[in-house]
Amino acid sequence: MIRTELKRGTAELAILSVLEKGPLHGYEIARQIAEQSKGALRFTLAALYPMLYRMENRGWLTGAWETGANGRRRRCYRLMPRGRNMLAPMREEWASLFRVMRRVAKVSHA
Amino acid sequence: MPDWNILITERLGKFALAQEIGDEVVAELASHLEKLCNESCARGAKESEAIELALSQVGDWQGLGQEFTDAKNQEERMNERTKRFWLPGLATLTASMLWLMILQHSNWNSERVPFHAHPLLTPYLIWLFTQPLFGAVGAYLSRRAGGRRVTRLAAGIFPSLAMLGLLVFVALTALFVERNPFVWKHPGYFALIVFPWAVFPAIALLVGVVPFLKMTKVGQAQGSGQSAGS
Repeated sequence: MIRTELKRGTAELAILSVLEKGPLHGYEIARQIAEQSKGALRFTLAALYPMLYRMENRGWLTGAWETGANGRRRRCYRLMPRGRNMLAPMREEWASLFRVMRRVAKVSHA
Repeated sequence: MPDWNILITERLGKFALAQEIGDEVVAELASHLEKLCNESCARGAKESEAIELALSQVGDWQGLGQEFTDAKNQEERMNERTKRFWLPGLATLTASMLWLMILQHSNWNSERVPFHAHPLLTPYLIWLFTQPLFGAVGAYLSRRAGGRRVTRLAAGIFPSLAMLGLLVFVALTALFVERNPFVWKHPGYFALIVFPWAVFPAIALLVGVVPFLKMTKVGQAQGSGQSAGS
């Protein structure tokens, strides 16, 4: 399992990356991240939703309410241009971190 | 299926800091937990087990309440600043500048104005004497949005603040970027521009702002209830 501190750092990038493919609800964001990371990245709700709210405050995402077939209200999150612009630098930052770690600690990509 | 809204509200309600969390947050969590529960039931879990499992996915309820409160407060602070300062200030600036443009493009002759001034000065003087009205509008809009005294003042004299900022920027650019020899030789000319376009209008705007600096009962209540409002 990946350590908590590193997970926190990757969480924003992971959320932006799954939203890059299209708008999703909070539940689907968490599920897609868990699936794509093969369970290594799992969000508790206590971590996921405040993070979504903060990213929304920064203008990276926007959330819109919609009503599901069962009448339950839910929020659909969509990537905003500012969030899309953050993706490339964040990916480059993580890639350079991996390069450095590979040199220093002989860590290789999974 | 349980009433997720009640289950969530009960758990969040245990923590004093979580009391500010609104219905929307509860609705969002309820939607998520319901799906988790349905997922577990589809895999063969009993309903009671599925509910417990879903609730355990929240993690730290106290932390969740605190995190939401922080995120929400941050959002509200930003919205309040926009409503109480930026919108009234920008509305005042826009209205004041539009009025100046209208005056400058109007045909002024001596019969139409009750005072004698150079034709180029007439629109300026009319604009200056009408500035209290714009200051009053800015301060009123800020007060209506719940702005504190200092915010109303800033919103009311915003056109002058913006003009001062612009003039300082232009002067610094002329001095240090363009290295304009005229500006270097005659720095006092800057004052000749600042007074008619920033200082005098600020005084005129202030005349309109002053009546709106008095605290209303609502404003007093809001002021005592918030430690760092905008």
